[in-house]
Amino acid sequence: MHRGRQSLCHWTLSFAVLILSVCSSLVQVGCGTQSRATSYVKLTPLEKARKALDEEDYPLAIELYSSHLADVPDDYPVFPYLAAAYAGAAGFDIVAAATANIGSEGSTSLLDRLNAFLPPDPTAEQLNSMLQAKIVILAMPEDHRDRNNDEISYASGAALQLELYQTSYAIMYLNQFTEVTVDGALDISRLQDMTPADVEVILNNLEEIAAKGGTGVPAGAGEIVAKVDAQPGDTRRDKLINYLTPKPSP
Amino acid sequence: MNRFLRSTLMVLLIWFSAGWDALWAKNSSELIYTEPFDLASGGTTLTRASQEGIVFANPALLPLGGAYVRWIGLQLGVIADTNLANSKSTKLGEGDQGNVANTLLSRSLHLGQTATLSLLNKNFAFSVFDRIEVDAAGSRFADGGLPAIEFGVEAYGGGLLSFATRPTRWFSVGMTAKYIFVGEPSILVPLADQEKIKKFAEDPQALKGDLKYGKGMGGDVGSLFLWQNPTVDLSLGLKVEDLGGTHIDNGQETIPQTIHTGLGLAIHGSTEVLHLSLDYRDAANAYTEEKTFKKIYMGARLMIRQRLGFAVGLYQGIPTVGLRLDAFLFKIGLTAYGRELGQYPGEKQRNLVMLYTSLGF
Repeated sequence: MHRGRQSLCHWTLSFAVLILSVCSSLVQVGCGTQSRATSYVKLTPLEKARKALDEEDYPLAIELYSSHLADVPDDYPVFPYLAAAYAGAAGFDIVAAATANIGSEGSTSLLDRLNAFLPPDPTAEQLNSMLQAKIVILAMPEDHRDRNNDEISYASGAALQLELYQTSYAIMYLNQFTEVTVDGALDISRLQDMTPADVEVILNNLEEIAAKGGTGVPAGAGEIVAKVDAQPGDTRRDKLINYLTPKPSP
Repeated sequence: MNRFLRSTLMVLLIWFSAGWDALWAKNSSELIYTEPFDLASGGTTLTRASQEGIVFANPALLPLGGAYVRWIGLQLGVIADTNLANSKSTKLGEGDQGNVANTLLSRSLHLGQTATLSLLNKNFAFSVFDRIEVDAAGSRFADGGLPAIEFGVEAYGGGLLSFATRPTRWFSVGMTAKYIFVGEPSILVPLADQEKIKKFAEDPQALKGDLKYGKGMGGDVGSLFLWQNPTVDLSLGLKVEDLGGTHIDNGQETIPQTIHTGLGLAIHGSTEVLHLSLDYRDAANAYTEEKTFKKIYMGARLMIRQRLGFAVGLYQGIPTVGLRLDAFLFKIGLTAYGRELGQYPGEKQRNLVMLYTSLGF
């Protein structure tokens, strides 16, 4: 009896879905579903920028958002979109990073987790784009990029963007001196090209994020900095190189 | 099936967990209810409307019917987006994991239902109704520049009472008093912000700040100018919706007064009618953010022997089509249509299918 009712319910549902399918096919074949308004509606510059961002046309989005902010420099809700466009141009896949729950604490380090979504061998343009993403968020007033500010809808997101972009910048900067071999191991030969100034850029950015406190990305950044500090070596450069050098298995 | 139910329940649970006790203000000049066959005709309602939808469309249409009692009955409809219908499956998730978030980043989910119970005669009408539509969609760059899933609800209900008269052959006028519940809440759940998700999960009351609903009383006034000869009718409809603004309680914004105009041309024989119509809504631009394309509705409907209806149109520029069969006490119909929930064409377009039935006479 119960199975019969279940079967009837399933049949009814399948029938309803079939009818809806026939009707939707009818409209799609007959006249399509594309809006006929597209060709005559004029978009505002901000709408054009948003459309470009959604279509992952990052150079155009950067151009349009930058132009808007040149005219309206205190339009702070726009800043996170410009930063997102710069990050996209830098090769940072925000959706993959977000759905992979990158901020969570796990068995792998933040370095490994973020590296999965960053270009392994960044170009100078990509590195500069990520730097710009960080700079754009930092140009916002502090209360507009405060994780605990519930009054401003984008403040919490902007705070998270800063964490991700600044950490990504540090890691991309580091990636200039690291190379992963075809068998997946880290080739450390290029690490010796790293100057003390390069080390300061990498570690200062990580320290700034770690100083924000909290779980997720700041905790992961703090963990990296602590592990670097715990390495043997006379200088921060030596400590960082030691941290990155693969240890022989016991 | 179970996965679909779980996904739907998840959407609804997020919603209900907030307690339903705060809402939202109406943020578009779209009608709070449009009868499905009227939707198929591009959403045009000012110069011709199906009986079940007259009180929402233009009360001045009431005296135009031939019979003294025009309609007593119930109409029910279900709405689904064509993505869901075309999948020929009720499964929302894709792949082994059925990752709802990933699915919603690639396509939207839209479900809804409507119901009206109406009594109409030539001069008087009463209708109670409800309409609720739930929309879930992902955005790569939501508010704050991070990916998020946006859960939106459009919920309306209430009662409407209309009176109308036709003092001359070429003019009719009507008014509607309404008591409505209205709300359009929207919740943005950022995918990357685990702390915020955790906060919402542990304390659903935190959502209450975003969820507010209200109720209020308002009125509409409609008029119809009609020029008729044996084969052709020309009509001009004018309607003032939410006269003076409909004040909504619970601190919500007042629904602004809007002015709608419509033109109609009907070509008819003894039992067949072809009606062409064009509506321009919110002529005074009360919803200042809305672009012109969202105010234009146009369509054609053909009634054959007063039993079979076929309609096509453009609803805010998006094609619509529908069929309706009227078997005296029982009507059934299908409408495929689209709505633009965003600000520009294609931003948040939803392609929808509605299956509906009416019982009454």
